[in-house]
Amino acid sequence: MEKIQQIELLQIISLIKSRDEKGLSLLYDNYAGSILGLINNIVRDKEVAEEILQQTMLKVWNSVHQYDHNRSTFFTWMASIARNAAIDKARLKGFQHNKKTETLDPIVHNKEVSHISTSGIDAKTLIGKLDKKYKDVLDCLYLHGYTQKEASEELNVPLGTIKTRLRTAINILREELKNEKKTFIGFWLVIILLLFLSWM
Amino acid sequence: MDVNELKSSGLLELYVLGQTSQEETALVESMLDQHPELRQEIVEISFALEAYASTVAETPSPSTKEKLMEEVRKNPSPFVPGNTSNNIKGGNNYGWLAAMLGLATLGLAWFYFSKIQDYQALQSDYQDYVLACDSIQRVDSTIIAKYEEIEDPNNQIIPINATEKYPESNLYFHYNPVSGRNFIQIKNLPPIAANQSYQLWSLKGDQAIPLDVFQGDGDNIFEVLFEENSDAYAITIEPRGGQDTPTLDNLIGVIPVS
Repeated sequence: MEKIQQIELLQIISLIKSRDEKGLSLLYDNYAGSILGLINNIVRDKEVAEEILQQTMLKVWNSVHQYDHNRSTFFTWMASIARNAAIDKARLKGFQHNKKTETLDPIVHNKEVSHISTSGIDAKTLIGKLDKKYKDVLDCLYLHGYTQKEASEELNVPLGTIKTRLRTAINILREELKNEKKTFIGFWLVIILLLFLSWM
Repeated sequence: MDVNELKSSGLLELYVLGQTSQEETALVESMLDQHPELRQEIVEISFALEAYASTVAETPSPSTKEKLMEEVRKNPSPFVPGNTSNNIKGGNNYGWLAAMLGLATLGLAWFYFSKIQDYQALQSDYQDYVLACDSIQRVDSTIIAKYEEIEDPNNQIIPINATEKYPESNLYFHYNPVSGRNFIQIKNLPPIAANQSYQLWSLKGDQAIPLDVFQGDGDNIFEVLFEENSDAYAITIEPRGGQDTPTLDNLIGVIPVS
């Protein structure tokens, strides 16, 4: 699913605030996949993950007035609802799969997805830019829902290192997204120039 | 903490991940209110995480969406704007009276709301002054607390032992093993390029543990991490954002504490 533009997202939010089901349907179509992926990396049970996805979407529908655009992006707000629900579920006594004693399962990245998120950047390119040590920290904190202390114990690195590596990992992703945007804009400028020259 | 120190502290990334403590959250949100330009950082961090999340996206089963939409239809929101309709039928003999009353009501409403607006404008000015005073008071309290800490009798002031490469380096390390707090007081540090940072390390035996990363362009006295049982602390120049192992060629100096 190609990244929706910010203006389309604002329209979706506006529809939801007006209690128009079409808003929820569009929100689901655009974000359910990413949200489900985040949930399932924590609970590791597809059926349970889909239940939590449904609860998340319902909570977004019912609590959209609580979203504060000064504090976070809409996706971050949704993702935090989803991840908190997934972490709570994963920590329930009856649900524990002794995750802390298991080694980290390799995260399955959807390399076949050609259009991703913010700028159409290729998944393989994005993941490939991250060294394993940065990816492991990002996976622990973001995808597995570990606290910094848990990540420090799991990866056997000091707490200060976890923070530094997280920051570096996110900076690498930010740079890569900026570079892709520049390439994209540059490509179209060249096309326009060539068309102009041929017209002349 | 100034804007650049906040950016290089890693707190913004943790805030977006929802992993900050209550105090850290309050600090970040206070800084966001005072420095709206920080919101762009939050947005870019969020976009980066959103892009990463999309690499693990999974396809939900069709029934999930069906169940969701069914649930929404079963329990519609009690407030649906534009759902109510008023049908006013027919006329009556008291229309002129209703019109007069309506005009009178409008007049009173206009008078009332114009006074309300004046009041709200005054109240808004008052709130601005209160916020400005609070902000100044917060900054003063923070500065006072900082100086109280470094004047504590258990605080040791240790000058840095500068290396031969950076002999002009001058810095005081305020070390308090009782309260477990450290402060750095910069007098003079070698200049760094835009793509570099200073990094503080704890030295324990042959181990170098990465601690704070800073640019040195904020307050000249600021708190840094305290590491138990350190033999010494050291400061190096590293690539911007810091790294896991120190670049020994860029060692500025060592502060022995044991």
